[in-house]
Amino acid sequence: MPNPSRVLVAGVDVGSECVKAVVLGEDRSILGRSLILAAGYFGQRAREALESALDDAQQPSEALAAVGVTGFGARNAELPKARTLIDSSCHARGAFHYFPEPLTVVDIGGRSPSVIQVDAEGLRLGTRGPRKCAVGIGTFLEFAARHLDVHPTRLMELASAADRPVPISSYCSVYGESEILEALRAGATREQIALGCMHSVAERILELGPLTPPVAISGGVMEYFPGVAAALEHKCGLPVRVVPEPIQTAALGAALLVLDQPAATASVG
Amino acid sequence: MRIVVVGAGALGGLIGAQLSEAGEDVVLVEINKARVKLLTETGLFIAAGAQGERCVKIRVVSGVEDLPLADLVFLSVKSYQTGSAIQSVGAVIGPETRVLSMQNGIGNTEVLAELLGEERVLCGITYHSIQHTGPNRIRYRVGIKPIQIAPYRGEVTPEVEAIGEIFNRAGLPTNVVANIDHAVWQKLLHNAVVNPVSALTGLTCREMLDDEALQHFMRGCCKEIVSVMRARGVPIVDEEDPYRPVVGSQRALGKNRPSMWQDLARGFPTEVDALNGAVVKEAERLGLEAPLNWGLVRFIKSREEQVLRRRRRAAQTIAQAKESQPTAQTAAQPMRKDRLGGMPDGRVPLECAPKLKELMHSHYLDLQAATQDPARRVVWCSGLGPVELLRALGLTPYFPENHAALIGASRQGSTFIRRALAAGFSPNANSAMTSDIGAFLAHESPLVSVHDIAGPPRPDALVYSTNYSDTLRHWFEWYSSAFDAPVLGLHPPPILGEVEQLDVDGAVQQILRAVRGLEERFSLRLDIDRLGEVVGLSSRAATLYAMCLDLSNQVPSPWTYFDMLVHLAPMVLLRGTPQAVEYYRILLAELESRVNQGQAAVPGERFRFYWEGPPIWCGLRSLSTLFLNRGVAVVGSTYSRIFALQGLDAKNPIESMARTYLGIFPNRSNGTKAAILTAELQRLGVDAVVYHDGRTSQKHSSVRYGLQHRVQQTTGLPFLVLEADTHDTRVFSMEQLELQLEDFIELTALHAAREARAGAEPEGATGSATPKGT
Repeated sequence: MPNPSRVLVAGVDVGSECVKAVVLGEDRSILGRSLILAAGYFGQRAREALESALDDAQQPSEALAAVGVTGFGARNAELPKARTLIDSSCHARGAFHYFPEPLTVVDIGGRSPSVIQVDAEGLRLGTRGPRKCAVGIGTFLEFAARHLDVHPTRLMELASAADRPVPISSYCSVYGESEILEALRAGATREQIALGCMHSVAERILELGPLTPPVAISGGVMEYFPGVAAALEHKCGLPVRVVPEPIQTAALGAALLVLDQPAATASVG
Repeated sequence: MRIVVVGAGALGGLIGAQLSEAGEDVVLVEINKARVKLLTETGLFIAAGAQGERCVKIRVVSGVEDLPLADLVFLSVKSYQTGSAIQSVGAVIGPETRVLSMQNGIGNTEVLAELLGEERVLCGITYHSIQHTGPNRIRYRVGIKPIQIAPYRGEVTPEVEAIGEIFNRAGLPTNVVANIDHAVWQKLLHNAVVNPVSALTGLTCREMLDDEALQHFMRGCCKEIVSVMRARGVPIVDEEDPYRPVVGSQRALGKNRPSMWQDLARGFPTEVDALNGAVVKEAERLGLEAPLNWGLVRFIKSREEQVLRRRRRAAQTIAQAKESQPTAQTAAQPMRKDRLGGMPDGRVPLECAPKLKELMHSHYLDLQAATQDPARRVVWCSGLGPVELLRALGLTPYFPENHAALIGASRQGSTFIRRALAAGFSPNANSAMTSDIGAFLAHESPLVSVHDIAGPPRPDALVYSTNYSDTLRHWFEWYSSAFDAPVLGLHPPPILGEVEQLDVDGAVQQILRAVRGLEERFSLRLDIDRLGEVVGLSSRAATLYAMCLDLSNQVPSPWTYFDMLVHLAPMVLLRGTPQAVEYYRILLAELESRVNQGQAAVPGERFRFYWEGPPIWCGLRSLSTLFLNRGVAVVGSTYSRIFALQGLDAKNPIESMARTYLGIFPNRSNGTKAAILTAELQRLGVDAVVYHDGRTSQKHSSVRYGLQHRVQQTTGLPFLVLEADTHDTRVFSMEQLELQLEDFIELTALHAAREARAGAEPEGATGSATPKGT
């Protein structure tokens, strides 16, 4: 039964590919969630995602006490009672919710990967971002799927059937794409290339610097291409945990941050 | 209770705000009218330790004429202002009014007792550590002991107890005691040993701890004070080693400098009379000797005299500059306030900016005149080339790198780079060069619209030095063939470590070859005395410019990197002329006056950053706005420091030129760069470093060779590497850059909060009292 007197918060992650929203109760339980494609309509889709998460929670928008907004298109989102938050702080907080200990969070989103060091209180110690325009991202995997003639959501299936990966090593997405075409021309199978792309993403992550255990992965790529976690585990030799509902990590973190700190330091807006 | 707080400084502000929040009727009296206005409009922002800020609305007035008699007057002015301050608030002091002094040192309450009578005077002592972090912002750390209040003479009366209760209710833990003479002396022991030594040496507490000779001296001062305390019957905190707690307090203060250093830096008198002066006086009275303390008083007095004199001279220079520039006179724009929390917004432009504009304008008009005068010769020169030779030979220099910077700053780089690419240049070629050459190919120049001249002048010859960048060779060679004009190149050896005589000799030969080339080309003879004069003028301008840069170690900084990029222009274009010397004299005076008034370039300065690597000319505006809005003052950069040329000598012009131009930062080894940078970061007291890896600026992007890791090993400072470019907006994403910076600024805040927490712990562990007013 919906109870309008409860205090609720929401987190909205306006990503470059998808907009994610989470509605939380005071007890930190997830009451509602939503996920829609951004398709470049950042402001509009941010509103829609929030409404849809509220629908999912069966709560009126008046019940919201605060909204944390983060992600690539956060500046375009004009939401009521909203506070803009730094992406990597949200990922840190979201991952910490599930793994409450000092942690290395690897966030692989649509646009850029980052490695975030989290302290014992869930606060960031540091972030290593992409040094070059990176292949280690979801958008690259989507491009790859197009060249391999499968829907992006089926890339994973393709990769699981491969006997070995084809090396894809460019750090620039455009060069990466031509490497895929060259590999196809040279007779590599689509399966091998799909697996090669997963490995390539993992390699770009490791180029950001060594990972300190324990390691957890968050972000949209993990939702659709879980093979990247296996590739990363294989390459760094460390156990890698995946944050539950990885695509929602930043939205969850944003909601938790506004719940934790009603008016505090994490704000940039 | 009706309370009048005299002096709205750090201590007065904090106590006034806390009492006011607790519901007492509090008025602060402040003689600085600008401060009264600011605090009235914005309130006082207070941060406690690592917690967030709160804004307290307080009542601040500049005089007490309209106020009724007060129950309590709280005195929080510097000790040398005690007498005059108390007289200025005489109107609110009635027979029942109690006057409480919590000032540093000895002798304040004696002055009060003499003026008001013993029965009205209360003495107090606090261990809070309070710092100004902006003109309307303070941050404090609660003292490790409660505040103590005692009557000057006689018993503790119920009225005194009542005052103690009010303080306690206001969240200021306070004990009322019968006598605080002991506590006052114990606190004085710290202040009198640490404050003057830091003020005289300019060292932070951490640096003093590392200096054995100084520690030896300070131990001696401590010993003298301890003898006086023993003779007065004051118990010593650590009988075994009385100096140990002083070490503890230095450790707790870390990289802070005590208030006396700040007083001198801002051109104010110090409290030395109430500290070491009081020690000397008391020692005399007791028949003891305190020669070291006596010496400290004399040295501090001498420094006071010097800074006061300098302050007067600065005021005079500004007044004169204003008089001679009636048209250029514009008052600093008032700070706008945004709608959120009354935080002042907008950079305060330097008053000499119009003067600079005019200077640049007349430089370019003169250049235009030179091209039209058949008797004058124009020679293109690289920014760190041997311009003194050209001036001494009567040639007129033109600087294509400055032209490129103008193109970059007006965001036209990418447009012109396209033209250069079409002419065969690679997108990986230096974008300053391709912007400049592209503009030439497009027959366009920002000089046309900015200075209303025909554009860059035709060269009669070109002179460059590769000390700054190897690109200059290609850049100047290209123009040499485009204009069919001779090019003379200096290729000094790159310096690996120390500048050795062998390298200097080589560079001297290169200069002599350029001299011969110019003499032959234009049938001139170099007059070595004239060269000496020009080099002397360069040296004077460089020294003044360096002094300007040095002032950004002040908190808050009076100017930023973004100001420096504008105001270094005379060091490039007018080096070796009296105009440059004159200009930096005015700039220095204005910056000193900003420092004296505590005026911040970034209002509410939260963090201090350093910029390493080439400027992102094409993104300066958005970067400066971003830093400003986040309260970050970028207080220095290697680029602006390069032009503070050291070692030019009028008596030995050629060799000193060779040595100076050889030793500039870009021409040094990676190890030397790391050492130079480490010293500069420590001198400026920065919180973090931003490294710019310019995609087309190989030589200036030292971060490509791991400089950031070397520097982090020595300084421990957090850093960020940005990949961008000086001129080409197409090879990076400005938006991504901004997101990276915002992320990093938040990280710096988290780091600072962690440090503040960590800093609070060892202090408790050493059990030492932290002197206030640091």
